[in-house]
Amino acid sequence: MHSSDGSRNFPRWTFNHVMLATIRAIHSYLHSFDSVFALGLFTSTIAALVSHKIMVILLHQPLSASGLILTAPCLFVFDLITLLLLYQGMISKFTIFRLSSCLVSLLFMICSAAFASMYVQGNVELNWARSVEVFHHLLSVNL
Amino acid sequence: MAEGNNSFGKVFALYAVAGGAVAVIRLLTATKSRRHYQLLVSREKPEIVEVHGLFETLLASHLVRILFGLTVITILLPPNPWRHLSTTLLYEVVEALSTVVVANTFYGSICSSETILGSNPLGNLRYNPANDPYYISNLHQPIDEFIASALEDSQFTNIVHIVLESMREDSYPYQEDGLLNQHIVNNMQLVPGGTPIDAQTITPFITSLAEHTLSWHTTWATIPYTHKTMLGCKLSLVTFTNILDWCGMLPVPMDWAVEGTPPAKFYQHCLPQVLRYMSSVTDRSSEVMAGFKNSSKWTTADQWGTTDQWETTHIGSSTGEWDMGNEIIRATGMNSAIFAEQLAEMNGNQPFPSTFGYFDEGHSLS
Repeated sequence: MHSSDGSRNFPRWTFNHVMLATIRAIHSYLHSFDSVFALGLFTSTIAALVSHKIMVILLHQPLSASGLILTAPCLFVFDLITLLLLYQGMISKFTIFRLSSCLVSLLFMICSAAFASMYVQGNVELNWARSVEVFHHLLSVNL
Repeated sequence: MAEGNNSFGKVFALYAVAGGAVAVIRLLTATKSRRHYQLLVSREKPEIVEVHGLFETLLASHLVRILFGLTVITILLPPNPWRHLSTTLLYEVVEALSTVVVANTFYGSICSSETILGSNPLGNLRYNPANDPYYISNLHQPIDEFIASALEDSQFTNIVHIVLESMREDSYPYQEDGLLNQHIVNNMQLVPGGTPIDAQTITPFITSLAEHTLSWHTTWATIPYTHKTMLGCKLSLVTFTNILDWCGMLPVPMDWAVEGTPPAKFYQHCLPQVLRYMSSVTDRSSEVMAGFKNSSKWTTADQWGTTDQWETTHIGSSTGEWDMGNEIIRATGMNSAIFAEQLAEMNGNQPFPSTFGYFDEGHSLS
């Protein structure tokens, strides 16, 4: 812990390593798409999916802390798979895949926002089946 | 989208801002990165790049292997709540869409069949339980002793049946010795000198009614669908006797309004149909003749002097459109059924707070 000049050194290398790794990861993520629009849309989709999952978990409280910690990777696994597929679609060389992925991402954002608004207003889980069936009055009002 | 009122737009904007912020950071760092990559490319030696297919690339990825392992573990998790919590938005929406499409495909066309309500203007009074595979009779059971004693020597001119669902027993009417009141008193800081929390301040109207009515503190439903539950609720969690509400018969514990679709024939006669029948068999000839003989009795509309006909109305704040809600209630024999769609006409078509209809303190009804 002492350098050749006698001054005391702190083990800062670990912190620096983590910081550098984080910066590299962020940098890598920022340049993972050719299109800036795709990057923004993908980021919004991540926010939408993660928010949705957090809200679902909050709605099912109380949950045991140990169970939540142990199963946390499993709770997000399908969201990760969804994002992985979306990413592959967005970086695809086929326009149809890129377009479809963008549309699906937008759909995720809309659905998640609807779910979140229901959570904020009523603290309840959105019943999607009911949302599909009850639409006449919803369409007739001024949004 | 309209369910959360203005919150939808705000949340959507938040998501867009998150994506926009990242895009802006990317644009700001783009110039620097481009230089960095150009330097790297010039220094690196050319590599021989093997072309793999997408599937091979995915399999080779560590991330995919990890995700595959996690997926297997997730499938092995207990269904409730952990596996249920792992469902993603895509699955939920697709499942809901497919369920509704299947339900509409199989039940929708059948529901419009005339045989459900029948051509009889009184509804399905010609119901034949012998042809109903879902029929479970309770007509052989005697009238409950408590109800029989309570109704002895009573004459009815009006019947009002009030149901409040999804509430604690001790909150409606408010019970000062209930657990809810104990929780509030023990765990919440009440304002000194504020309005006291008791039955007279929380639920004064229903408290005044409850003293003079037949009331059940807790009833049990077999399915969390309001319109189906209104067909029958249980007074006991264990036994299947003493079933309340319009039909005195528990609904089929299945999703969707299967009671109104063949081969089911909507159980048996419900209370509104019984009242209709009573009206139809009441002979008012003598009363009408008495009116002719004494025409002074008919001078005003409220002095007809004949026996009143039963007029039945179901009023609920839930939506009647969802899952044949209106049809189910109308099939019980109700003359009219008022749901959230009709209530909306009285409040300037304010949007429902949710797809369930109007709820949550009724602020949208004002």
